[in-house]
Amino acid sequence: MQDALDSINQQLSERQADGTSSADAGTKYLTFLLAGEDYGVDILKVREIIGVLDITRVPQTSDFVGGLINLRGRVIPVIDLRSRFEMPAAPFNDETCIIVVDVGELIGVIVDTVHEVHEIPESQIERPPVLGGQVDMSYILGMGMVDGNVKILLDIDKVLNSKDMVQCPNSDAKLIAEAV
Amino acid sequence: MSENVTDSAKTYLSELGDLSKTVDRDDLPGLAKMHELFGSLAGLDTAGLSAEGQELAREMVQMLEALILGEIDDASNAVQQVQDAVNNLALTAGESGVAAATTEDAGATDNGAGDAESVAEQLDKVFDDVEPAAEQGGLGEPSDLMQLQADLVEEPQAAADPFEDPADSEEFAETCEAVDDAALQTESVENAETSDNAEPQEQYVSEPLIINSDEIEMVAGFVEEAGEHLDAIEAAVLEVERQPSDPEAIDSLFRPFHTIKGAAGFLNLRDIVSLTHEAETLLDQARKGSRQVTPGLIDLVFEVVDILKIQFEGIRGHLANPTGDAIPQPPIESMIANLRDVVSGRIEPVGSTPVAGGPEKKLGENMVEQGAVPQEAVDFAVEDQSRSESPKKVGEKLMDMGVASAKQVSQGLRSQSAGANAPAKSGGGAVEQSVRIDTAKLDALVDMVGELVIAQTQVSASPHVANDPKLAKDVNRSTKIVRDVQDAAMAMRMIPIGPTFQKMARLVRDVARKVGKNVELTIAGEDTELDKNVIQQIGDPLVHMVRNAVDHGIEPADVRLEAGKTASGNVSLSAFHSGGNIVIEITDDGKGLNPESLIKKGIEKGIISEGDQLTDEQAFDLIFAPGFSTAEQVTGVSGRGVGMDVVRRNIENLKGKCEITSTPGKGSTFSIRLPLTLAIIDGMVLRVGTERFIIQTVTVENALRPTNDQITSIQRKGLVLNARGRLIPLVPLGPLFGFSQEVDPCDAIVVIAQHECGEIGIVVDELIGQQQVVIKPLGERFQKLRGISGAAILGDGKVGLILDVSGIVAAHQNMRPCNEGQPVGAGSE
Repeated sequence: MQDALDSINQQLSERQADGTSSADAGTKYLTFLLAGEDYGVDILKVREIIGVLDITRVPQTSDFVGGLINLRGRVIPVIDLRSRFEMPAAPFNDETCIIVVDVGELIGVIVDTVHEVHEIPESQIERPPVLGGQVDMSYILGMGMVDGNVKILLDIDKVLNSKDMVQCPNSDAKLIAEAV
Repeated sequence: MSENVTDSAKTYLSELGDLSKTVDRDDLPGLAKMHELFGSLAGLDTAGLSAEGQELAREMVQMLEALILGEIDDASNAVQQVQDAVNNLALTAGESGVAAATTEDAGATDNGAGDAESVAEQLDKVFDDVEPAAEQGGLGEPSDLMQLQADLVEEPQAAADPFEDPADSEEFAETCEAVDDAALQTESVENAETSDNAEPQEQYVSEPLIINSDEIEMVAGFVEEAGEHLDAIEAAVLEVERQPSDPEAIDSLFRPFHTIKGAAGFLNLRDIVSLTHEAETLLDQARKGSRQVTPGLIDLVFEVVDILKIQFEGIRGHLANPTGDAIPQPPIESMIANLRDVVSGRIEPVGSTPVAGGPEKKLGENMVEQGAVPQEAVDFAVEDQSRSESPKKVGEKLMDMGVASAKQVSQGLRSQSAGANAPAKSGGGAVEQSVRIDTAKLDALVDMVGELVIAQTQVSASPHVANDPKLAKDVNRSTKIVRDVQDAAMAMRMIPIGPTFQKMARLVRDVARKVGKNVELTIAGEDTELDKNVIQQIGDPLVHMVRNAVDHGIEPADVRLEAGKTASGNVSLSAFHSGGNIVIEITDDGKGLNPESLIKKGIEKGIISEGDQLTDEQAFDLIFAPGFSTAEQVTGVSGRGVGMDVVRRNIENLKGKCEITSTPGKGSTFSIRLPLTLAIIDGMVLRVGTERFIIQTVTVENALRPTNDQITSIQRKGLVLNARGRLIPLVPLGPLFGFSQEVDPCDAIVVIAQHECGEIGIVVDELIGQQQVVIKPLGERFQKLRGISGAAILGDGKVGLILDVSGIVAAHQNMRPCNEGQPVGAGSE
């Protein structure tokens, strides 16, 4: 597992070194697994991938906020993507990873496991299907086809910025009423 | 005596001789040193140097100043001229009996004749584009040197475009030159004036300030530095006021003015150049003794400082938001006109305006009209005149002014050239012993060092280390080094509080004059260092408190005398270390605070109720309450009832505390206790369930494990602790944050913490220990959290949350009514 992380992190730093040369060849996506579903996130958003560290819980935050971690001296929040997508919770194991993404600030995203980096040409990306009110499609960029498999490509900015992390400032009567 | 003079001349000449061999156009310190030496030479009496030699020395002073400021195109030639002058001086000095140390060099030049005047002719060639200024009336019969001086100052430079790309060195030189021409032209105007007072004054025309985009960084640096110089000027002015006859005090005023002038010239900020130049000229008169240091003069210098402040503020604003608009202009033109009038002796500085009668009365009005001086300043000046202990008689002043014209023609010219000489030291003398660093870089360093410390701790805790004595020793050593590095990194953010105190000196003076009191300020502990952020933020609270001390604390002179005190009040500012904190004390020997009247007022204002029993300390604390003002009359200086509550809030934001001690009739002391740095706090680590929290040690009163009979339950929803008669509400932290169920406080620890309106007992599972932690902000996303003010990385590398006691109180109070004692967070867990 550590080897796989190292190899992907290596690619990440190479990507940072050669800039954004992949514009014509298609966008590179980091793919990962979440509750049996394959997802992808634009690699330009990804800063690094780390194993699960000690997470400090923060009160008054939404369920999907895992808490805070110490990323080499920086305190950054992590969110549990399963919880964010209202999927059943799963215990962390050796495969569980935190993808550190840069969405204006650094945020850690907990996923079941990280796969690899795929280059997906524009032509291989379908528009997100319409699934009715059950699924919020607004943070899905599209469906990427890789060797016959479908990867759900996430607009990670929207995922992380569309919901307040602080859930219930106690003074807000409406939120308190909801909580009760 | 004359032998001494001769000796000094010898020393100067020999130093000059040495320097002139090595100096070149880029050797600014060398040029500055020569500038200084020539200045000293020019100041000697004729026993040391012939009149001609002195004249030449003065010329050299000017020339070197021009060189240093980059005014001269053909710098190498100019340097050559200076070297020749040194040799010639050595020769002429030799003729007048001084053993010339540099005689052997004289032969090396073409100027073997050793005649000062011939050097002057050569000087003419340096400025070959100079137009003769013979038409300039009133200059009598100028000697060649005088002519040269006039030429120098008249040199027109219309061709140079000041806004050319400064990267081009040639054009840049021209730009500088143009600027300095402006300064020189100013001088010429004065020359003309001093020689003929009746001539109408040439009006200085202000130039719109335009900052070249390429220069933004330089200008920003200049503005920042200039701010420090202005602070230095203010401090020096106050010193001059205290000891008007001390030439050193006046000298120390020149340096910052001149540095600003030089840098402004470099950056083409013409208004600033002209203004500082005029101020220098004025001060030079004071130093030469041809002008008395009057309160009016002091005021005038302060006004110059204020105008410069406005100007710099404008520039700073412009740099921060360069909309392309012109920078707002303070009344520089009128100020310069005013200064010139004063310099030329046409008018006295405003402070010396006689109380009644005479044409002088017009002066004050005149200056008000010009906008140079606000009406109230004139009023103060007049007032001050009548208050002043040894007011100069009006007649004397008139005499001074009456006889001035004849004398001042020559004096004016003389002080002119010497005026340029005076600030010589600043040219290259003081070498900056510091480096400016972006605080963000420092913070990053502090962060990384913090990480290093934690990593080091983890290494030293490894079992391998324990089993290997050699390794243990090495690890210990590196641990110590890491700690030292941490201390050093922290120390970089620390700056002395001295400059902040100096600003208060100005404030005390202004406020005291405004309210008509005589107040002495003593300052101690200026070298005490605090975190830069703390220093920046402590300024406002200090201003309020010092102002209050002068306005409310100190009684009027007659009341003081009645009480057996000295007529003038004393306010002291001091800073010192005390138990890991910095304490700043503001003490006055005024009337002190009267607890009874404070309590009465508190009841009046509805802050406390009739029956409240308050200790003196609690009564003193009332003045920090919002809407409380002790002044019986609102004085316009203080007493508007805003202020002290803001002061307390500011100090609390700095994680500090403010305490008051006071004895009625004797005076009051306000102590501000501040942490050394904002980045690090002394914390207590608490455990609640599996989570650890940090609470600032300063807010903690004590911690205890309560017994059953100390706890009282209210409607089964709230608990209070009876701690020696005080009832303290308990806040169980676990349930409040939704981390754990309510526990019996008797099985837990109660940490009694202070907040704005009292105390609370925070119920936690365990008290782990004390630790210094580096505060990490949580960012905007978590801004709305109640009861959490930040995070810190604990010894094991995990993140701990820092508690905010006031926030906990608020969260606790809000939680109760809507949630039946069940914490909000718990429902969602």
